[in-house]
Amino acid sequence: MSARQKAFAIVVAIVLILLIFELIRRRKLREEYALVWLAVGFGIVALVWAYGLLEWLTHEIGAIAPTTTLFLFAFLFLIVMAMQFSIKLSKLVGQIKDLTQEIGILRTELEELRRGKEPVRKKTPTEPKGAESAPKTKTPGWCEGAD
Amino acid sequence: MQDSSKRGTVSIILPVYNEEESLPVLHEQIVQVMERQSYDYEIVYVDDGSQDQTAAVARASGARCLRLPTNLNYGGALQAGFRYALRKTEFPAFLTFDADGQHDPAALLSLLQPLQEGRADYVLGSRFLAGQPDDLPLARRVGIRLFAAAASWVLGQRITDPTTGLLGVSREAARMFLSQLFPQDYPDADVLIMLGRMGFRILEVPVVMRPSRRAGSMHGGILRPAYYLAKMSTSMIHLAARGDLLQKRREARLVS
Repeated sequence: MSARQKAFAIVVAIVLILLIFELIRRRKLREEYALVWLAVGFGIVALVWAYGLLEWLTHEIGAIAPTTTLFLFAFLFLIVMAMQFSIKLSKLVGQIKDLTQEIGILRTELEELRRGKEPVRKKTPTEPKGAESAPKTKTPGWCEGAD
Repeated sequence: MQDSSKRGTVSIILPVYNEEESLPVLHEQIVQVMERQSYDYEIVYVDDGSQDQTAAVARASGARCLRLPTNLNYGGALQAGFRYALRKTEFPAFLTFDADGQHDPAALLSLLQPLQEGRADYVLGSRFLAGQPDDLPLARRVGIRLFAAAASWVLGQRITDPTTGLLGVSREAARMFLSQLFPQDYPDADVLIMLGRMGFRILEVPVVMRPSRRAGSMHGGILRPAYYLAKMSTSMIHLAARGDLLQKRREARLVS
């Protein structure tokens, strides 16, 4: 790797690390995701600084050029990140569903409290007709239309 | 399970989406059918984020109307209805019904009877047991038969219509609908396998079904059925392979 390539890679890595810290500072990036990106930044610095390490890794995985190693790990990293996002997204979808259901239930309970209604159609033949406590089977006891 | 000689209460849960025009007629049909039996009953419409006046029409009918702030799809709306009904009542039985015109309200009584008599925990209304002509699209027909065969093999009993939306559910089985295992988008054959593996008694009864009013059903097109097939297969395999479902049922019993 030429000196220019090394310098460029280190500069990019340092810019990435600084950017991550700034995003954390502004609360735009959660720490759990920042750690992964910080590992990438420091990893690039480490591999470039200790070029022998990159050559050794290249030899271990059976690749020929060190750039192949870099691209391979970059690809694996993206797969891992996509998997992490899918897992997170699945959890969020479940949470949104639960919240939506709870909101719907709470809203309905509030509306029912306001109207003070009993929704069950009672079938009690012994109860007198027109009793307030027994809602009619045909005429709803609380329907006042839409909100 | 409810003794048929005792009076009980049943909740009919209907997810609805943009059904303001058909709902009044459907509601009257359901009421007329339910008045013929001895159970007290309530109707719970779950408005799944409709863009029309469905919720207002549902409330005007006198039924409960659970209004979701955003569309969750059929499974999410159905689960919301069960969550609501289980929380608000001590009812021993629940029925589910689709509002797209496919289901005949008379079928509700067929679903209710086995629950009343304590013969089953989960009752499916099967169009195939009724000997109806099979006029479904080919893709749908193949899918149903495939899932029916898979469900029959896993459960060790003959299942003909695992994707039906006409269901009768006991209270204990309904509690399982609230678990995170319950699918949000197409809850049918996989729910059947889940409940069967949990040890619930499953029964099919013959019902008559009509063509859906909706121009494009939930399973229309090409991509959607393909997604449904892939998703359902994955869900069924996952639930059939789980060895902890019976334990989950026991845990739910202890908590409730």
